[in-house]
Amino acid sequence: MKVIFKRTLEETLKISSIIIVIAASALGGYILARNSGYSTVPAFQYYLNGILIRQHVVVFFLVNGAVLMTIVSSISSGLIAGEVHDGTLRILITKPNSRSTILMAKILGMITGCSILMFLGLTVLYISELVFGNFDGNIVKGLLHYLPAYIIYGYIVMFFFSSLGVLLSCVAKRKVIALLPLLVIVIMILGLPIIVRITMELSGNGGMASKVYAVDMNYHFGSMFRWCCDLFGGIHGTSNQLDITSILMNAFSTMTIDMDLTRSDSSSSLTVANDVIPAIYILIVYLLLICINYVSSFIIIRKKNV
Amino acid sequence: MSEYCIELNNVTKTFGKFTAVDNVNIKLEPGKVYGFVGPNGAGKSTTMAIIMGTLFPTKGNGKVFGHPLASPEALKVLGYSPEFTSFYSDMNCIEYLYYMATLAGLSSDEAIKRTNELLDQFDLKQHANRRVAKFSTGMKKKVSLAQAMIHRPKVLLLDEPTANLDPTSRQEILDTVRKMVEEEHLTVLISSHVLTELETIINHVIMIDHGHIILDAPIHEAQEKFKQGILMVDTSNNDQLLSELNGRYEYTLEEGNIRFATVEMEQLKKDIVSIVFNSQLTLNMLKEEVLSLDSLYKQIMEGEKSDEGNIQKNA
Repeated sequence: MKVIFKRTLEETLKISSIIIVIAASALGGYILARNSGYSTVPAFQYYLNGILIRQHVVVFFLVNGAVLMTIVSSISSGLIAGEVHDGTLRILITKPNSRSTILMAKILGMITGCSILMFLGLTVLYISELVFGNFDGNIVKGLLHYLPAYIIYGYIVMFFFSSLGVLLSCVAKRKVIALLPLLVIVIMILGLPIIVRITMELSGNGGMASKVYAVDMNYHFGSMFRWCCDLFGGIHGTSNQLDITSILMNAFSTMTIDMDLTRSDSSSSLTVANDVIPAIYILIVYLLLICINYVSSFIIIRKKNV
Repeated sequence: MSEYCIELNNVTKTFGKFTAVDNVNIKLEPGKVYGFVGPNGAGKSTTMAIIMGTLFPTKGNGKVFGHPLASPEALKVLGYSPEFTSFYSDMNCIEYLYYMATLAGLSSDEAIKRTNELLDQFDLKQHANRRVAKFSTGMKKKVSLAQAMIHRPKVLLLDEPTANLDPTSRQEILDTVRKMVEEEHLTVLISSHVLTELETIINHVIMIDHGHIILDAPIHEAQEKFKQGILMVDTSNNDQLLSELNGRYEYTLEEGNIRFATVEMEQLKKDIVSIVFNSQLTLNMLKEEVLSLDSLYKQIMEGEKSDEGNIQKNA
């Protein structure tokens, strides 16, 4: 169903979306490149790890985070509900195409468009880092090494939000009704749990907050992000460097260990992957949710009264 | 293959506790133009939406040329212009029709050709590059008709094509429909409130009220009834007049007057005059009325007793 695919692709690649992606990614790259913050010349690996961890955070929160999640949510929630509200779906479904074909063409158009936006975002991020960072070749190579991990994670984000958005869009009569729950989820991944965690940490109840793993979507996505990075060598760094990922993504945790093993003069703790729920289990559950959402959408659209 | 192009069998559609269409049976024969009439909320649009597959019946089923309702095969032969067509706000007329054509399965070249044909046919060429959403109501109706015709359907469903239009635009739309029907030999189901307009183009009339089909008859059969004379008579002795007419004419009594309904109006008048003259009666009133489709519609809808003839009444 080329014509619906093409129209959905065009709607996804609106100039406003492209500008937002470019601006946000360029800003992310600029912040990364400008914020080295070393007073002495660090060792190569330490330096690279520091930049990489900040790059991971920028990708997790900005490029494949707030920007990608919001764009996918906005487009997927309007896929059917937008046409229902505008009244155009009534004509669309009276043309000789099955409803499943129409929905499939729309989903493919959206995924293709969002993929282009994701690649654009990551490309601009790297270009911005290179332009503003003046990194040497080995650092650039190290930074680029994780690009496939970001792409895989981007697709997890894209499929999760699009599947939920499409499902809500098939049920709701207005785009905004379908969009609101998705925006709440974005906040649940990128904002609220972190605020709760920091607040509880400051009040001395940090251990309690990090134990609510089943509903901590920030932890779920943080773990999946770490899993993607693990496929390409993992996230490395000193405890200090990894602290930011512990606080912002809950992907790492600190465990007390024999000082001889840590070989640290100042601490008897080690920062390790936070695998209370193994990342692969989380991934499987989310993939199942994605499948359920898409299958439900097709079932609903086939029986929907328009 | 069924002899009917559209069949609805015992179709019921409910919305919660409200029954919009109740056990409806409709059979449309190819090549005929059907008028689908009824008051607001009678179930016309719901029935059309069920045929088009935008609504699914709660009970019953239907077929379009033997294909299940809402199947791509059924939609291929159907063209639909809803009462209120919504257009994409970012598309101009030519883009919209091209989009509809490609949606309907036409190749790019065919779509361009067909779009241009319809722009000519509906006199929209000079507005081709304007946004459809900003068109006047009359022009939007034309675009809506054009998109319904874009894939050369065999059956056309037009829901209130003349609603909210001024008389000139109404006539223009009806002339276009008439022309299309003649040129393309279409089966058409057209709904409207304005029966006098429909009378000129339909072969068959289907009346619906409160979700029930209350009249389903060929127009010639109905017109015989509609055009039969109604004669209101009052004499000094109505009983004697009726007795001498000896039951040859159908009649009812209305406020002391005799209301005859007959197709043999001339003979009835002669008989009455002859009886009045021979029996020395005084003729107080002799008033002829012609029952139009519009008046019949009103009578049926208002639940008044209408003349029974060979009109099938399914209520």
